[in-house]
Amino acid sequence: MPTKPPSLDACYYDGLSSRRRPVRLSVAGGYLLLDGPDGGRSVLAAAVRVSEAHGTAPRTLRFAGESAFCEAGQGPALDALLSALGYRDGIAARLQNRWRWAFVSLASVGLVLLAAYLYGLPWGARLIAPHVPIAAMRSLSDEALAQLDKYLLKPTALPEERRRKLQDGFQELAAADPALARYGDSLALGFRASPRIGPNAFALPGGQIILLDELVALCDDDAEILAILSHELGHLNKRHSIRMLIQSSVVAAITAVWFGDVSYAAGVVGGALLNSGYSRDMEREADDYAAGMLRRRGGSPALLASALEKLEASHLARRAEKERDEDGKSGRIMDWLSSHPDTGERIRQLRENPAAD
Amino acid sequence: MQSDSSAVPPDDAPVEHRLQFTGTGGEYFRIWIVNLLLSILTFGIYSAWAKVRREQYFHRNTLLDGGGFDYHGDPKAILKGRIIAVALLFILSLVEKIAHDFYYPVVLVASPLVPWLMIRSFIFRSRNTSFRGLHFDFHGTYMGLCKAYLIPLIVLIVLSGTMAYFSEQAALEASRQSERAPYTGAILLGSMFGIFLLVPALLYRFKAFQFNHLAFGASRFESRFRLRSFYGIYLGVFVLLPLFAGLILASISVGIAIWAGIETREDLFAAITVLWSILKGNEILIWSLIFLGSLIYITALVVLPAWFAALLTNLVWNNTRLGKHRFKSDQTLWGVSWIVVSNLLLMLITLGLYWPWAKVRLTRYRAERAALLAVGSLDDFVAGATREKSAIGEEVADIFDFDIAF
Ligand SMILES: [Zn+2]
Repeated sequence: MPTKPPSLDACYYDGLSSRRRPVRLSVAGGYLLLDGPDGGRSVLAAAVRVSEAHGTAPRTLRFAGESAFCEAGQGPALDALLSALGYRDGIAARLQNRWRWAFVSLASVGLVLLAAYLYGLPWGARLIAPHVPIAAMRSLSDEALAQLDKYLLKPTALPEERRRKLQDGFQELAAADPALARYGDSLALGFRASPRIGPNAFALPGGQIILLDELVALCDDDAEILAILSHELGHLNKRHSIRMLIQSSVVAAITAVWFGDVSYAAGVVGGALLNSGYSRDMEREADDYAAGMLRRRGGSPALLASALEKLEASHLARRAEKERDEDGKSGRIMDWLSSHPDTGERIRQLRENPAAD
Repeated sequence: MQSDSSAVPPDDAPVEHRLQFTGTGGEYFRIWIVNLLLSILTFGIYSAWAKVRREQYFHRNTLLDGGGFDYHGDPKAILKGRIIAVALLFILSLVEKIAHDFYYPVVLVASPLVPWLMIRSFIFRSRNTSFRGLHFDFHGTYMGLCKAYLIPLIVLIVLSGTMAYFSEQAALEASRQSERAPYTGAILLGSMFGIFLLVPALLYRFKAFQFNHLAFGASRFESRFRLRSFYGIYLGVFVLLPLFAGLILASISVGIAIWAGIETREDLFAAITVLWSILKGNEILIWSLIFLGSLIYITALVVLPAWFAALLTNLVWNNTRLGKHRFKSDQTLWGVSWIVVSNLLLMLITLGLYWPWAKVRLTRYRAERAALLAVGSLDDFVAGATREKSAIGEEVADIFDFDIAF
């Protein structure tokens, strides 16, 4: 095949009017030559700025410092002309024109997001959590508790005397850890009942710990209840709820941006699914904290283990009951989300720890 | 590329030039994913360059009479605008979360900035768009926008104030079972309805302002549309159509009831009981009903705004001219419904990965349903004076989600 000097037809615009002039482009001696009915001109190859290839769209050849430019359709003729001009696509332009790189990018985006979710997010939350003012958390917790009181919780039915005893035990526990002092007055034990939630206790990010009557009824020994409370104090000491709050708001924000064009609901559901309850590591941290606290007070981590065993047994019984009961079907999904598959493992770890260190 | 010098018609008969869109979903997917990765790896800094790429892809692939549009946004200006926008958003949400009492005062103090941001955003967009080497421009001013909005805005503020006051009052009186409760309720409903009715007027002023200050080179666009048409579209899409659909549904269920021989109230209860017992035993049926219901709901949520947007685009472009040239837009309700519903389903199935194809499909549809009705040659436009452009307004508007597309 004889090699002709590359040339092709293009349109020339001067940038001063919308007038379109046909030109013939060619390359010679390091210059781009423009040749048309209204005359010709030449531009130094180094002064030609070629637009990135965008699919099959026409490309523009602009001239440094001028508003005039040429527009040329894509094809082998343009490619030959551009290589004669010494033009090469930039890295990003080459990456985005190959399916192979698109798939590599897709996989990398997935990996980066996964790594950020698994490692980056908890790390960042751990870093930020100590700087969140307790007052802000307190107002958030008050709001959350008000909502819970309205829909899920009932006033306690425990006798005054029993409550005072537990309250005293709790204060003693809390006083044992000076790190908890930063919660100030907010650090308090609250009593509620909730047949719908069942036996449970939970720590709110502001420092309140809520103990449900059902849990008190389940554990006949107060030492077990205090073991569970020290586990909850562990969540407070390590600021787990604040960390979870930071993590879930970041996840919610990102999923909302990602799904923003699909629907807001999908993002919210996604955020909730990815963030139900504390992480496994957080539960273990709280268990370790409670075990340490129990040992220092001359108790045994086995107290927490036996309390957890009772909780698990009651949880399983409640689930079985719900399954028998036809009307409880809608509750099954929530149940599945909130179940802890690794409770057995946690109990084993607590039991294996010797009673004293 | 051919020259169009021979296409000049002998008389003033307009020649229709359809817009063409040559982009494909696959191409845009590759651009999107590569730039997404680069943006993530650079902690968002590259996103300004990614935005320029995206805009250039869509502009250059939109052709009119064989020539492409172009986008000239400067990534560094966009990055600067983005940083300012993110900082503003961060401060605002911080104030909302931590110093809640100051939130409304801060918003109130900042609100005069909104028209300014809108104007900056229009200017940035139009000046960075070109066709045949001529840039678009926007000549609207801050005072002009305030004036255009003044009266409807005052009405809106009065109505919202009334609504806010009376909704508290209504709650109070309802709890006390006061005799005045019905009057308060009526005022509350009235002010809500008033706000609902005010939306088309606001939109009308907005579109008129936007299009009558737009220029291509030195030539100004002119738009003449009637307020009445805006109300027609608005009430048609958001009131009459749902009403019509409701009527059809009601008559279908009445028809089924008659066909099934339901005559007395007891029959109806019996039928419901039978249906209920069928449902109760069948978990798959329940879930498919829930799925179907939410699908219909989401579809309505997506389709009605898409209809409104399509009719509005038709109305605006069909009443706009640029010198001797006119425009045409003929999007159909079926066309947009098919695109937005199938886009939604495919996005849900692919967890959002279909997004580039969805965007390309919608862009192509919108472009190909629009045309320039050219009278004479397109060669005679001349450039206007060049002016500076900053991206602050554009990026703030982007982050705060103002809808300012032309
Ligand atoms: Zn725990």
